[in-house]
Amino acid sequence: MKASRDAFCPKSRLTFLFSPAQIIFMHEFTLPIGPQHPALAEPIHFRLKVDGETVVDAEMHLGYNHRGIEKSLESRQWFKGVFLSGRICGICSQSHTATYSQGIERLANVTVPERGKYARTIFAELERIHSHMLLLAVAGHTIGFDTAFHYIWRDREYALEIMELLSGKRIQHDFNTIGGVRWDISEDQIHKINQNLDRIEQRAKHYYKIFTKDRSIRKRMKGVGVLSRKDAEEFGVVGPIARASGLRSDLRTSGYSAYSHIDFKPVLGSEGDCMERFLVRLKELRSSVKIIRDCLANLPAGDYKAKLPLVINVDKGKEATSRIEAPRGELIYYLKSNGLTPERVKVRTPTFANFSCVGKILQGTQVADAPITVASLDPCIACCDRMAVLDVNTGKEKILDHHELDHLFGKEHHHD
Amino acid sequence: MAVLSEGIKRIFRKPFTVKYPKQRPRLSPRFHGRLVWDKNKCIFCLQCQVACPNSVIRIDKEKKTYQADLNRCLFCGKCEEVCPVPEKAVRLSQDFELAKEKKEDVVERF
Amino acid sequence: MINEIFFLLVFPGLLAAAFFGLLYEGIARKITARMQSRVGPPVWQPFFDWVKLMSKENITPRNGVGFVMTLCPVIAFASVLSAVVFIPVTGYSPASFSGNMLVVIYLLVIYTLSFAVAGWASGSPLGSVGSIRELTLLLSYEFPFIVSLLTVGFMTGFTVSPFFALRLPLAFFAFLVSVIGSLSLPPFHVPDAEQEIVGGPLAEYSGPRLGMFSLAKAVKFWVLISLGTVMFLGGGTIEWFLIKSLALVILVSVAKTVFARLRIDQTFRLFWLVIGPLALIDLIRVMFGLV
Repeated sequence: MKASRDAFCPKSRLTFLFSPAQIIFMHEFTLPIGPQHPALAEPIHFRLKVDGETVVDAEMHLGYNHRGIEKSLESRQWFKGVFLSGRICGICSQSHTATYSQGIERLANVTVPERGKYARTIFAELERIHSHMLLLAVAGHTIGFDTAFHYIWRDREYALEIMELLSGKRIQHDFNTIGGVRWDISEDQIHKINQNLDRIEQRAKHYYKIFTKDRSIRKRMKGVGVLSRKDAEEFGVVGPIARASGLRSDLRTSGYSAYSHIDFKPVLGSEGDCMERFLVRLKELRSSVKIIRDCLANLPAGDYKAKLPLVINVDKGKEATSRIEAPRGELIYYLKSNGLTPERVKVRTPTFANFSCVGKILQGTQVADAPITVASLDPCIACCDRMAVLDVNTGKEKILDHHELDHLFGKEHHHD
Repeated sequence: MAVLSEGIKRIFRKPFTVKYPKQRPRLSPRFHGRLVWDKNKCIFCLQCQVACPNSVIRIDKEKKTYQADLNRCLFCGKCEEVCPVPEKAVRLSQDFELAKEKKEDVVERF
Repeated sequence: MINEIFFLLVFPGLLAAAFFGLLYEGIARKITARMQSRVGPPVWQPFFDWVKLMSKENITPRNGVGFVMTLCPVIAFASVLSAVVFIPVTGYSPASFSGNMLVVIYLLVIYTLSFAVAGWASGSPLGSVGSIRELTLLLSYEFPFIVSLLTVGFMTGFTVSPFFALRLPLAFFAFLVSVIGSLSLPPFHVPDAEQEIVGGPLAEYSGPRLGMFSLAKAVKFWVLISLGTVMFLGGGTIEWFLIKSLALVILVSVAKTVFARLRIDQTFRLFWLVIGPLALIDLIRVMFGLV
């Protein structure tokens, strides 16, 4: 990063006089954003090639948040690995534990009891609510509307309260385990949950009104960062972004967990601009509240987790994939067993898939619109830094397999 | 203008901030706080040591000591979950004020 | 003589300008916080911030021009403080002459120019972009600002005027919006856009340089509010003056909380196509005696 600084800043003491000329008369000027930047919650490096106030191209460098989790999972017993997978991301923690547990259940041929499935669904939708509210507030903050940020985060507390009630923690709940969930949902908890759900629903309606009617928000978001349906399909985007561009891509329709028992329709949009992406998420808030209410009303009796020993042994070489609709889109886990521990875990997070469209979506937007456009993609960089290496110079992508990982990290770096 | 009317209403209401430390936050009964071990209830089965995802717990059966390195603890509650004693010899309390001045003090030695 | 010295140094000069300027800023932050259901910092927070900043180290970036970086805050502070001299708070000003309004306007422009130069002198691309935005903002709000002041100026000359806010409502409205733009408050806080360019022109400033810039901004707040009170709300005795100023501060604080940030081109268009014409309508009314 040291080299990049000299590239942008005028070198001689007198050239400060020429900087405005540089910007006005030179054609291209590279604006660095990150890795340390108040706009970003997590470190990521963007290089925007700017012509005046219009973005001509965008380059992205990842890897600042790389923690070697896929490698660490290979040395942990199955049930311990679930805890680690939940710490890939703070916002979508439940999605990771659910997907990993689901994968292990497929490997070990474990059936989750019905009550466990419903509990997982309830928690997944709660997480969707909290994640969407977080993003809506961050979007408000990104366009300078701090009041919206504070209001929405206050109402997000209702969702976090329910999560603390059920699992004892507000983020990184460790709610899922192999074979079901770790704690039961009791009757008095259901009453409190319904109370909070009413409040969330009321506030979601209110924010929908604000987002659609407030003039300053509409001026910043309408028509900005358009991703056409064709581009969305070509770049393979997932989640609310795909749905806002008109693609009918929602994994919950495939009926994992309790979704097969619930009447559920994905929320679709048509415009594909920033405003549409946020409106899709606002509508999903209400849809999630409805799903949770349905689940609570029809919660079956029985066990909430399957009876399993602590340490499971799966046949070596057995493979499984597990897919779930995380708040940001489709989350895929590929597992290969090595007996007591996995031999390989590959995580494909939705943010990683969505990032492929950043260059296209930013082309032609103004510099001032770049942050809100990126924010509307809901980037979760912690989820993003996985084992794929993107060579910026040649543009080629290389996936490191575990031999190369061993070589890179060395077995001695890991204990227990 | 919805924001304006809401904002003006809120000026006259109490703020939502919990004025910690004068006000204490409301915690749920399942809250995962500091690990607490009761010597009288423990049967030294060592299940919690086996189950801990991060090898936080170290038990010495002869000397009857129990040590939990809270630096590495996930506060996941697995130890409490696997404890066979019905009243739970090890559990996570509601104590969340865990800051200490020296790193060695963070290790709970019972 | 004593009168002049009191005016220049105590009220509404140096001490009052700094004190009330920082206090108004504190009040604005407190009102914004309460509207967002937060507790907010104490009203005296800007004072603490200034003291803290003055006690820190001046760091000059490698590509910055240290001499210019030190000069800009001084010029900014000097220009707004000089503007205080010409505003007839409580009906009297030691430097009153027929061109005093023009001088005030020009001094405020010098303040903004020093901000822009500060951005370029810091040698950072973010600062440069911020400076350009600051100047574009200046070009946007200056016209409605001047026109709204002219409306009152034509009515009474630049002395303390009676209560014009209701007789010249469009001019008053244009004046308020220009003040919000002049102070870089939402919805016009484009130069300070932290999400995009990390603090705009002042991105590389720290320590006493930033402290003097903040103080200059606070004094500018005082200058603009005093101008509004004197021209549109009918100055009056010191107590009434302060109460009316407080009312304006509350109005500005509420306005700054409820808007998102507009882009620079949207700001430009808003001022030239909407606010400017509104002020012009009132100017025409004054010139044809239709008030």
